[in-house]
Amino acid sequence: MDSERPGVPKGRVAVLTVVALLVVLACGGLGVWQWQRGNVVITEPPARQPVAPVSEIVDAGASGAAAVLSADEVGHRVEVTGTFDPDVDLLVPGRALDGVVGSWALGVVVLADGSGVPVVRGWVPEGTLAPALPTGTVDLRGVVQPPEASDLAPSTAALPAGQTWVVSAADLINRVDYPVANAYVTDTAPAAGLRAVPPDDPGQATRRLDWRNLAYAGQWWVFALFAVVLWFRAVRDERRAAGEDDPGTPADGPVHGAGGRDMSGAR
Amino acid sequence: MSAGTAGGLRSQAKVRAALTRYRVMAWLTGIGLVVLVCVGMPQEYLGAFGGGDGVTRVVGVAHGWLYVILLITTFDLGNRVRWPWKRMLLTALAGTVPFLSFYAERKNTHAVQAQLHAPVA
Repeated sequence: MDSERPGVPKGRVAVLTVVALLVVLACGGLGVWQWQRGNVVITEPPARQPVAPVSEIVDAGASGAAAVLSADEVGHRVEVTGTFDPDVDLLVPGRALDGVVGSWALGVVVLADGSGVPVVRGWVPEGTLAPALPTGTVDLRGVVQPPEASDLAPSTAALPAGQTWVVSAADLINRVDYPVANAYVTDTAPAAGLRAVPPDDPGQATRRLDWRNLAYAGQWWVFALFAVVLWFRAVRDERRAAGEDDPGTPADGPVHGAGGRDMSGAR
Repeated sequence: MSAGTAGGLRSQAKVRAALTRYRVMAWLTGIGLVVLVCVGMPQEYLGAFGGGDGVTRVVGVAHGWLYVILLITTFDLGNRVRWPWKRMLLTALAGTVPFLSFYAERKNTHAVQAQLHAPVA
């Protein structure tokens, strides 16, 4: 209200502003620190977890929430042991690798328990056929990925037999007569003639919230806010004090400079 | 005290209510801080009272929020009785020092009551 009045102690206002900024920075920083402490990482990132049998991560028989991969299951490295179903030898067109359009070779490995795990065997350039499915028992390493949604398909056009737009249990289940895991594994070390498809989704480490630290974070931010309020107040007080020297400006009420000021002197 | 309507305070009842709120919060926060420093810290860091962090877990967070409310009531009261910002700041800082908060509460209460009882001109 009285911003440009002469006599306002600009130096003191500047000092107050700098001090308030430092306090806000300190409180804000301490809040960020507590916020980070409150988000405790309890698992390693999935890519750094030890390789596990695929059946430990994905469960073809599960339904509902259990069938959905959690954030720390996506990206997990797994070992898939079983046999490729000779009836599922698919190409997924329209997949780029390093900017080159091609297709994914998709198969289903049948595990010992009779369930199937979709496996992206690798990538081939457009117009190239994928190498034949391996016969007999395979033991491959790969990375677990969440199933693709049907809207990922670049087109709704019908595809020739032996091709599909997305890697999804919902699609594969129509091609086989056993349960198929609602996920897929992308083979890390594909056979000759195929290039490895890097996993799209690296997954996340799981976190646990520590409410004590999160509460402290909130409190630090409140203190920062209080510093801003006090700064606002201090600058106003300084300007009013300067204004009192100006005879044309009445002081703020009768008590200003009397009751309030006297009490501050008592401390 | 200078002349003026009850120390220049517009509404005595509201100031009294604000003073009560401030006093309640000052006491709660002060007690919480003393419990934290005299019971919680020795328990967590010296193994006293059976050790563990039971007291700091509960009182630590509770005290933090009580202190936040104390800041609000301090600002509210200070606004109503027109404390200069330094007094608000000192009152707020006093709330972080064990036992000093009780002294500050007494000082502030006496000062506000003196303002409230100031003679009407």
